Amino acid sequence: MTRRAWRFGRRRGVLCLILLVGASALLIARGAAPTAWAAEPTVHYISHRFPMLEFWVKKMGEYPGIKLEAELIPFDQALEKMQIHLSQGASTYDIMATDAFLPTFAERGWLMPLDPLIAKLRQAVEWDDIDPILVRDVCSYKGKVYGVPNLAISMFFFYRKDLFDAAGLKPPSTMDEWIAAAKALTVADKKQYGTAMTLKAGDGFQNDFTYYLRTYGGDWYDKDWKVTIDSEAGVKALTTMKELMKYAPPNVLAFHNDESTVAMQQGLTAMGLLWQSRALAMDNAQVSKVVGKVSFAVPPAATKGGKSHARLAVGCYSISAFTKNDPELVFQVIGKTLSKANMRESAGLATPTRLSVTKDPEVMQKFRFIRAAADNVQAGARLVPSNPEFSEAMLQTTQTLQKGLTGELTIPEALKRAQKVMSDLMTEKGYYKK
Amino acid sequence: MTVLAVILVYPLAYSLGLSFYNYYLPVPRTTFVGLENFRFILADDAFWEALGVTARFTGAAVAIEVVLGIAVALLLDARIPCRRFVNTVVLLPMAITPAVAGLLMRWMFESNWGLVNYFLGLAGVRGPGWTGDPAWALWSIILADVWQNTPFVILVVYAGLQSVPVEPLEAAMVDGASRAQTLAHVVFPFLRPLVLFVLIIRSMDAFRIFDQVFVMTGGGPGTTTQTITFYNYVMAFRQLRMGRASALGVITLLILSLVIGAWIYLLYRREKGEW
Repeated sequence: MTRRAWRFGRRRGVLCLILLVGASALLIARGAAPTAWAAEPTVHYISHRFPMLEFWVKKMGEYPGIKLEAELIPFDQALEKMQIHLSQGASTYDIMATDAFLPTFAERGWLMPLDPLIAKLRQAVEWDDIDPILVRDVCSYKGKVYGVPNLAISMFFFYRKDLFDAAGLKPPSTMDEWIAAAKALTVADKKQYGTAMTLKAGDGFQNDFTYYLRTYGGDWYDKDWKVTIDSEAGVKALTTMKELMKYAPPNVLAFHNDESTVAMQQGLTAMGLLWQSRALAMDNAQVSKVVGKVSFAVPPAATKGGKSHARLAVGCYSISAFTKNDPELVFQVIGKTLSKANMRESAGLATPTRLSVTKDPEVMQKFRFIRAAADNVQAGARLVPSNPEFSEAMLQTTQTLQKGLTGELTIPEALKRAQKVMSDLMTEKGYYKK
Repeated sequence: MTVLAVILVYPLAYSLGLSFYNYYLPVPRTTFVGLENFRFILADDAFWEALGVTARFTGAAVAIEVVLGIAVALLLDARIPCRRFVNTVVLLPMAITPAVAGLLMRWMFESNWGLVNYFLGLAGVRGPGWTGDPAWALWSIILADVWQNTPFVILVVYAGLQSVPVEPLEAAMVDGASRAQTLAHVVFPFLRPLVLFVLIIRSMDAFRIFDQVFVMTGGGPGTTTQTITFYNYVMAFRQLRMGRASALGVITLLILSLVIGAWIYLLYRREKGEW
C-alpha cells in the first residue's frame, strides 16, 4: 500500500469514527430530552405488571395533553431499575409504583414529598375521598406523604367449588385440611393437581413463605430487627410447603403469579393461594376454562379457630424527586387517574382506595371477592417488612429456602443458612449494637 | 488504538479500580477496602457453587455442540437432497437473539403445555418438570444453548470441509480406505485447527451465558442454574454491590483467560508441528 493510500485510508477511518460518535450523541440526546422535541410532555412510568396496574396505565394513557411511556415489568426487575436510576439522580422516571419499599426510597431522598401538591390540588383530585389510613400507614414516611394509594390487595384462597362439591369437601380451614383436600383432588395422570403454589425464588416465594411463616406464629424479624426465620414456625412452614408440593404441578418451583393464575384458569389445579387481583381472570371467558367455578375463602389457619396471616399489599404512586416534568401536572395525572369512576370500574381487580367506592353496596354486590378480601384483612393479612435489606437479601434468601424444599438441604439447614444471609446483611448495615 | 482504549481499556481499568472499593449503589460514597472484595468472593460458597454450575454447563453444552455440529456438517457435505434449503434452516437459530430464544425455549420446556413434553408424551414418555425441576433445569438450558449455537459449529466446520484438498481424498480412495478411515486419517487432521477454534469461541461464550438463564430459570430452582455471570448480575443489580461485582468480574476474567490461554497454547503447539 502506498503512503498516500494509507493516509487516505486513515483519514476515512477517522471520518467514519467522528460520524459514528456524532450519530450516537444525537441519538442519546434525542432519547434523553424527548420533551424538548415532542409537542406534549412525556410522562415516564414504571411499575411491576399485574392486572390492576395495567388498568391504571391504560387510564393514565388517556389523560389529555400528555404522552405516557410506561414500563410494566416483573416486580424484582422494576425495583432493580428504579434503584439503579434513582441512585444516580436520573430523571428517567416520573411516576413509580412503590409499596413496601416507599420508606426506603423516601429515606434516601428519591421521592418527592406530596404535601405541598396535596394542599394546592386537594379539590382537583378529591383528596379527602382517599382512605386516610392507607395514606398515613403506607404512603407516608416521617410525617410526610410520599405516595397516593392506588390499590389494596391480599392473597386469599381460591378453590374450585365444583370439584370440592363433587368430592364432598369443604374449603380447608387448617393446613392439615388443605393437604388432605389437595391429596384427594390430585389425579396426576389426568393432569389435575391438588394445589397451585407460587415458589419461584424472589418475590414469588417470599409471598407464599410469609403466609406460612406468620400463620404458624413466626415472622421475618423481631422488634429489634433480629432475623427470626430459623424457628419452629419456620420449620413448620417449610415442612407444610414441602408436603403440599407433592400435590402441585411438577414444575411448581418455577411458578410465579402468572403461572399460578394460568394453572387455576386452565383447570390444572383445584385450589391455591393467589392474589386478589387474579380473581377476575377466573371468570374471563376468553381465556379461562373455569368460568363461574372458582370461589374464594380466607386462607387456612395453622389450627382450628386460629388466624391466618396472608400477604397484604398496598400500592402507592410516587413521584420521583428528580422529575423534570411539572410536579403539579404529574400529580394531577395520578390523582385524576385514580378517580371515583375509574376505581368503580376497576373494583374487581383490587380493593379500591377511595372511601366512597369501598362503601358502595353496588360495588360490593358486583365484585363478590371484595367481601373475601375484606374478611381476609380482618382475619389477619399483613404487610411485609419495609426495610431495604428485606428486598436486597430476598433472592439469595429464597434460593436457599428453596433448597429445603428440593431436598438439597435439610429444612433446618436451609433455614439456618437463609437466616445467616439476612443476618449478615443486617449486621453489615449496622442494625445490631455491638 | 484510541478506539481500543475507549471501548476496551478504559472500562476494564475502571472496573478493576472499582473492585478495590466498597461501593453500595444507593450511597454515593465509596470506601477503599483493598482486597476485601476478592477475599469475600473467594470465601463465598455461592461463588464456588456458581463456578461449578458454569463448568458443568460449559462442558456439556460445548461437547454436544461440537460433536453434533461436526456430524451435521458432514451430513451437509454429503450432498443430501435439498441441501441449500437444509443449510438455511439449520442456520436460522443463530439469527435469533439469545433473550428471544430463551423465551421461546421457556415455553417449549413448559412441563404442562410445552411442545417438548407434548412430543415426549406422544412417544409414551412422561416428561420431567424441566425448568422447575432441580434435576433437569440445567439440562433445559444446555439444550436451549445447543439448539441456538450448534449452527455456528456447523457453519465453521462445513466451511472447513469445503477447503479439504481433493488429492489426499482421492489417494485414500485409490488405496481402498473406508469412509471411516478417510474421515479419521485424512479429513479430521485438516479440521483440527478449526475444531480447536470453535472450542475456544464456544467455551468463552458458554462460560459467560446469561440471557437464557435470566429468561428461562432466573438461576433456579434454588441455585441449580445460577452461573457465574448470573451471580455477578445478582450481586450488582439486586444486592447493589458494585465493588464486589467488579471484583467478581475481574476473577471471572482471570479464570477465562487461563482457560483460553490453555486452548491457545495447544493450538500454538499444533502450528509448530509438535503434535
